[in-house]
Amino acid sequence: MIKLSNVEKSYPSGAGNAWVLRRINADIREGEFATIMGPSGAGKSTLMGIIGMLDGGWRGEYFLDEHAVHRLDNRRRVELHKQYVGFVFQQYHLIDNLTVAENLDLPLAYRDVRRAERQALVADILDRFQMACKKDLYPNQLSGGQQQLVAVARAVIGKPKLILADEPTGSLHSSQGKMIMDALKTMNEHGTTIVQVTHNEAWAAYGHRIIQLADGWIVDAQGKASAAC
Amino acid sequence: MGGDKTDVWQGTLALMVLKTLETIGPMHGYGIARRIEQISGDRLAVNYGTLYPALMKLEQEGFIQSEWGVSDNNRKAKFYKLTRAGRKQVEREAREWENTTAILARFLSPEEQP
Amino acid sequence: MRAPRAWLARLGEIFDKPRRDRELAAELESHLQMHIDDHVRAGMSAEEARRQALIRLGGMEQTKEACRERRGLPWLESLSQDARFGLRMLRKSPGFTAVAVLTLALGIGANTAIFSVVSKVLIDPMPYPQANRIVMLRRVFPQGLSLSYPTVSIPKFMVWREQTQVFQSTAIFDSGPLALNVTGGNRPEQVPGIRASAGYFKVFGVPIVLGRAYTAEEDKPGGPHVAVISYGLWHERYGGDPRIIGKTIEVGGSADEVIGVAKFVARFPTDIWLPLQANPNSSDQAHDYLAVARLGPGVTLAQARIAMKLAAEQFRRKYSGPFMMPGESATAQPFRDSVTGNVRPALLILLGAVGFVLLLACANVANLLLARATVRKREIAIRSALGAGRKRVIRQLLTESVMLSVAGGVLGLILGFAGIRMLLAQYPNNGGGGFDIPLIGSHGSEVTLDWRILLFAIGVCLITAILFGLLPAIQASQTPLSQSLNEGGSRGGTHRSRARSVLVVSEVAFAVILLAGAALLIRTLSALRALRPGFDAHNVLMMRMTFSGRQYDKTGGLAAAIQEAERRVGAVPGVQAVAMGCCVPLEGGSDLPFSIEGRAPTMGPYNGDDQWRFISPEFFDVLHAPLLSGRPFTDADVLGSEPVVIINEAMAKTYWPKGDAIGQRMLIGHGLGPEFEEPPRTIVGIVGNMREKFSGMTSSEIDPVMYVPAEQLGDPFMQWVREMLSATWFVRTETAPFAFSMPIQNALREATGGLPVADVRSMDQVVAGSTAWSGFIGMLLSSFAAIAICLAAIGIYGLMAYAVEQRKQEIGIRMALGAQPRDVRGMILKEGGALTLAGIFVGVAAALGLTRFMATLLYGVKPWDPMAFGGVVILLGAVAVFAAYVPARRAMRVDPMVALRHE
Repeated sequence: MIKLSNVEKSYPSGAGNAWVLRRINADIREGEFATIMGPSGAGKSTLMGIIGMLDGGWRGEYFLDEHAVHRLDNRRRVELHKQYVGFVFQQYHLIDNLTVAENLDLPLAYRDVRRAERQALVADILDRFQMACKKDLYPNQLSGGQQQLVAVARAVIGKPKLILADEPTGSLHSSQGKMIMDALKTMNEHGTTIVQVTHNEAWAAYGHRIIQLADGWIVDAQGKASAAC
Repeated sequence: MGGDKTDVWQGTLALMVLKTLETIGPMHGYGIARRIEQISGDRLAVNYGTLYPALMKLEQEGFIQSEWGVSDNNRKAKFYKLTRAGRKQVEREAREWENTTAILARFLSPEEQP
Repeated sequence: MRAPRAWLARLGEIFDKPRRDRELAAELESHLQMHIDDHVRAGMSAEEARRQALIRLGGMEQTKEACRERRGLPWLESLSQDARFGLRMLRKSPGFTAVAVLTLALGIGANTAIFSVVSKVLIDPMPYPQANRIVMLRRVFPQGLSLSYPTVSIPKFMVWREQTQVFQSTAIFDSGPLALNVTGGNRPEQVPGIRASAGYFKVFGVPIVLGRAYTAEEDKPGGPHVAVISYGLWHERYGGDPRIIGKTIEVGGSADEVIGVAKFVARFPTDIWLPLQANPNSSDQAHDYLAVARLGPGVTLAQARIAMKLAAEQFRRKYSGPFMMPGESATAQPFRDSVTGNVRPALLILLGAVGFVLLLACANVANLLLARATVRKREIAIRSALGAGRKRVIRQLLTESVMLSVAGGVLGLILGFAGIRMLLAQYPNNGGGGFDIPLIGSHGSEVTLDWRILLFAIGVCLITAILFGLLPAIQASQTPLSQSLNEGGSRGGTHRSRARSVLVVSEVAFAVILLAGAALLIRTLSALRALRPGFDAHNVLMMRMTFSGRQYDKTGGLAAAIQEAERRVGAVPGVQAVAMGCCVPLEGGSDLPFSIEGRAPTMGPYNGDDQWRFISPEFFDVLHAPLLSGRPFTDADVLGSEPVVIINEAMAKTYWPKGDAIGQRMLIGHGLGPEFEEPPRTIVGIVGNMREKFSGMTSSEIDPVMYVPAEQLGDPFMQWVREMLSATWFVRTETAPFAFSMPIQNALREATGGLPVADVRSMDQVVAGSTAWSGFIGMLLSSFAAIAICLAAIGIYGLMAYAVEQRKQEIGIRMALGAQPRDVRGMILKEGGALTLAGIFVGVAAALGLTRFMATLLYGVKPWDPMAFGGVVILLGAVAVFAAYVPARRAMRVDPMVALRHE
């Protein structure tokens, strides 16, 4: 589903370039649950941004199914993003002055879904996540775990083929974290491709395989740079 | 440190300094402090750390003047002496203090006044 | 307390820091040594002695620090540190600083400039001793003061002035400056002058710098020819010659002895005062004079009014007959009111307008400071965490606010100075339409910067700046430190942004109010300019002349001069036609009562009282005024031939609605006095309406006018006329008229035996001048409105730009959830639009309430004119959208990755 070859990103810094990502080659199949791990500053978030088509200014090739993302202009990428991707962030990133229901409604509204259909979908997802009683609350009236659950619900409401979760449990207690991971796992079992970033070995174990990043390189389990293909 | 000695109250230190200078004439900071302690029969402990700022304040207000001189033990020291304004200030403050203590004494005396 | 002395001493110590430091160290060291000595003597080891001594001293450095605190002025040092830091902060955000300072400066400057003028006119004492004791004596009609002219006749004044129990002194003088020919010497010129009774100098307390004023004795009929001249004329024409007293000058053809020089700001420009020498037994009914009085000691205005009412009744009993109108009475009015009545509403409106500008400026600065407050919340939290006391933080912010206000104030002062000059440069000083701003001297020389308002405006700005500058400090001290430190800035401040929204809404509302006022005046102006004056002003030159001298005592002299002028001026190449008339169209003139033969009197003994003009036969030709029926005047209409009159269309319609005016006869001015007696005149023609004046710009009505041939006035009538009204020559030229100005002036001088001309203008200028006052007010209001709209735009821009900055992350999230850039742009625009709409709504409601007060300034538009309001709404809406568009564009470019890179 995702095929990255020689993807690189750098920022001009001083005389030369500061590399964020170097020669990334990766293949993630449909239905896979992949985990990206690595120390802070390894380029994990940047890689997520590139996969999620939020980030521009990289080089290399990126095929999302048959779409050659590297050849698409920004508008087409946004279209593709809407079609494929749901995001879950570490900080939940719910919008403070919108209710739970309104937060869930947002991605649908941006996908030009009709109002009646949106209401049905929101009601459905609230039900599925057992949050119907909380739909009129504001995010700051919820616990961290509940907020993240809303964020996950928001990520899946548009029925994305791909969920990108950037440290979804980073701010949660382990019991709440488990709740989120279980939700992701269920989604994956229903066929959604998931890429997550985590520092937690236990959560990483939920996935099928681990991609290790260090200093912008993909490294093998021993921490050596894997040979370019 | 002071043990059970009483620390000199802030407001009264200035008056004690002035009175000391009036009584013994020009004197350096250390001498003033020792003198106050002696007069109190060592019941008071002068906090030397507050003595010098107090001297400085009195000098700024023009109640005392300072000049360098030599102490009894042949040490170079800064001597303070009362100015004319300082003399008046001693009188005034002493009077006020007497008033205050007199009033306080009445409050504290065991018999009710008619 | 010895505080001042101590401060001074400490101030001195600041500049002597290193020496003081050394001395203190030495003193403490000597203290230590003596203490150690004592300890050693008591048997301690040297080391232990030193340790004990140090403990008692409480640590060397701490003691030094305590002394340093005491020494110098730590607060002054930290103040200068605050100031340095503040300056750096202001420099670091030059945009914020520039906008805030400029905003304040505009508010302060505009207020200072306008208020300086207004206070001179409406508030400051008039430049006369005990000016509040001076009253105007005037007729009054049941309709109230505003509808009646303040003029009086000599017989009425003679009765009124008998009220000696209430008046200390009284005076009567010409109701407007006469154009006096000053001849003799090599430079004849026209100067403004008035005839005034001797009491004039007493009532106004005129300061005589040289010689003396004329006496009541000299003011009697047949008295000597004496004159008092102005300080200005004395210097300009006579070089300040101290021997001027006793010299004779030629004024209006008669030789007058100069007896005094007066330095005085008169009601209108005056260079020569002549004794009126009015006959106490006169029965002259012409109301061509103004009367004033100084109240006696202890007399109230109410008492004076009662006395005047009685005097009016006394007059009615004394003169039975047509001397008083029905319902007419007399009253006393404070002199300032009579002087400022015309301009008062306009000045008050301007004052209100600048007040709004000040409010706007304050709102804007408050807005800017609040925006900054959020940015600085973290900085303040960090400072507090590092141990800055609440006082210290507040002082830091206070210093910055004060620096801003002071900078704004200084710039405002400069703007205020420049503003006054600009104001007066724009001020229409031609007196067109009678709208002079009184009491400001010639070209506003009496106007000075008003310090009170400058201080007031700076004070208001300072309070605003302090209030809103301190808010962050106060709030910061209320929120727990950890919270504000941890906040990334995405939360919190919602109620502050609500406050900012309220500020922006009110800014927009203020702008709407100012814009609405300006728009109404602009509409008025265009309505006025669209008015057809009824004549062809293009390529016509006008100049005034006063016919003084013996040869013009008889009408024949004037007739000869007119014919000679027609011949000589007509011979100037490029001149098409020349004519004379008493008055300049659009600038008013005099009126006379008349009765129509065969009709019962309807208005006292008369049928009406309307504008009256004398003209030469070519007058209508020169001005291209169409004759609608009947015949024009010819050279045959002279004294002795059948007396004739031409009326304008308005008069024909008013008095002969059936269209049968031609051939009717009317008796003009009968009963006013012996010089007005003349046989009835036959109406021979009807001429198209020419606008005589814009009637204070409130009425679209055209005054009825009667025109009589100048050459057909009786000799006594002629003499009255030439004293009271200067004549005007009108010359139609083939091309731009000023090219012919000199040859025409020369030809006129030759034709009239050397009389000077003055006030040379083109009729195009006259037309332009007639709208100058509303143009002036309109220009000022428009500039205030322009400032307002800029400030409102800055406010909207600032708020939205700030919102985008604050919500970068939220925008990033939205984009990560699939929002298109245009969705984001739309969101920001919608928020800006909602605020603007709210502001417009409030503003329009307020403006509808306020524009009513402008009614007297408006012409041809209603105070709720939908066009003006619609235009304002559209303009402001467009500006607001533009102001919000820039930040909205910035929002579009927010990188969605900010949502990912949270840490």
